[in-house]
Amino acid sequence: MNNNTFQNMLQENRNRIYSYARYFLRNNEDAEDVTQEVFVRMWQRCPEQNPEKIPAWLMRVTHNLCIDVTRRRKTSVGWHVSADQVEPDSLPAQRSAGDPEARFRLNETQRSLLDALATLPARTRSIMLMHYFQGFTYEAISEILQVRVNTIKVTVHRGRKSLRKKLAGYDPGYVETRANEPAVS
Amino acid sequence: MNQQCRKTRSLFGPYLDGDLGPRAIRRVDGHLGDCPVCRAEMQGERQVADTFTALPELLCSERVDRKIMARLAEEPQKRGLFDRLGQLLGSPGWKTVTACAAAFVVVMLFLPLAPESPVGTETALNTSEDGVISHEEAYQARQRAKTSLAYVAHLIQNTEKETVSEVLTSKLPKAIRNSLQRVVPVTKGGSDS
Repeated sequence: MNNNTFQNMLQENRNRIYSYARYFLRNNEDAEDVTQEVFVRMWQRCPEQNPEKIPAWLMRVTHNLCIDVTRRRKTSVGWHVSADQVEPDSLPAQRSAGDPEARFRLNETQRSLLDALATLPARTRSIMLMHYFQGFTYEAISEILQVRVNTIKVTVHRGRKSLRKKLAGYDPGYVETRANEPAVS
Repeated sequence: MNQQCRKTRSLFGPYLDGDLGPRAIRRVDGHLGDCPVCRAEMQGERQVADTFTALPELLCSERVDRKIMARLAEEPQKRGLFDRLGQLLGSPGWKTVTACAAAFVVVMLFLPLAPESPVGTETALNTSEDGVISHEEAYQARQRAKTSLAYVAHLIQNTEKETVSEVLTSKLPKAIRNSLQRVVPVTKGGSDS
């Protein structure tokens, strides 16, 4: 891989990789270490290939490193650090625009979601983040993790269901409030 | 939760993924319109998906970039040494050269010790026990060297075969491969002759 390609890949993917690691590990230092290691490995090992395949390659390496960190430092499961620990300078400026109250509500929901996500098994967590946050299709995730597509679908479905229950637990009025809303047209 | 609720909830996954056909969608929508519990369930799951999708992409600190660059600055030496060596040794031509070098080393280890024949030759070797090698031992060493040499020659021959086979089967354009195949059929695993 030449220097220009590497620089482009770094600029295009570093925030994405960092965000995934940050949401997965819920620890800034670990996420930065993982991000750093991912790009060093890309420089060392990523084969010169179709550029469209590089994001999936990066995701696979990131996932493996996050799993390693989880095993080594035991920072994920049971490590209930709230989303308050996301440094203010990590939040992109363009997303800070808009109604502050709406933003606060959104952050509250996201905080609850991230807390609930931290209680799920690592595999489920990574699949949920890859699918919903990173936007990978089931087929792409299946290729990244070397798991059957149906297994990915079932994991996403169960993860979503489990998160919904946990979110309802964080907010007792959650289900009842929704149940009283008008029917879907 | 009745039978209809169970059936509808089993379709939540494909419904949210947009994998259902129009008739199934109408059926799910119809049930959601009638059943507030399933409706709440569906809205909860949809909210989970929406919240995930709306998670902001965080900005990676610039110090990470600096760390990456600092580590990469150390990389060329590491890459230069190991990658180039690996590439050289991995190329077909260098496999043969490596095998030859190994053969040379083996021969040089044994040959200086070996006389031409086990008996009847005057050499500097004697049979005393003062640490000097005997005639018989030297002869055996020579025999072992010959055996080793034959083995190394066999290895080289195999390497050559593999290299030729690899070139014939993968590195040539398909048209040329087909022509060669017609003239000199290459069988899988090669021939013994």
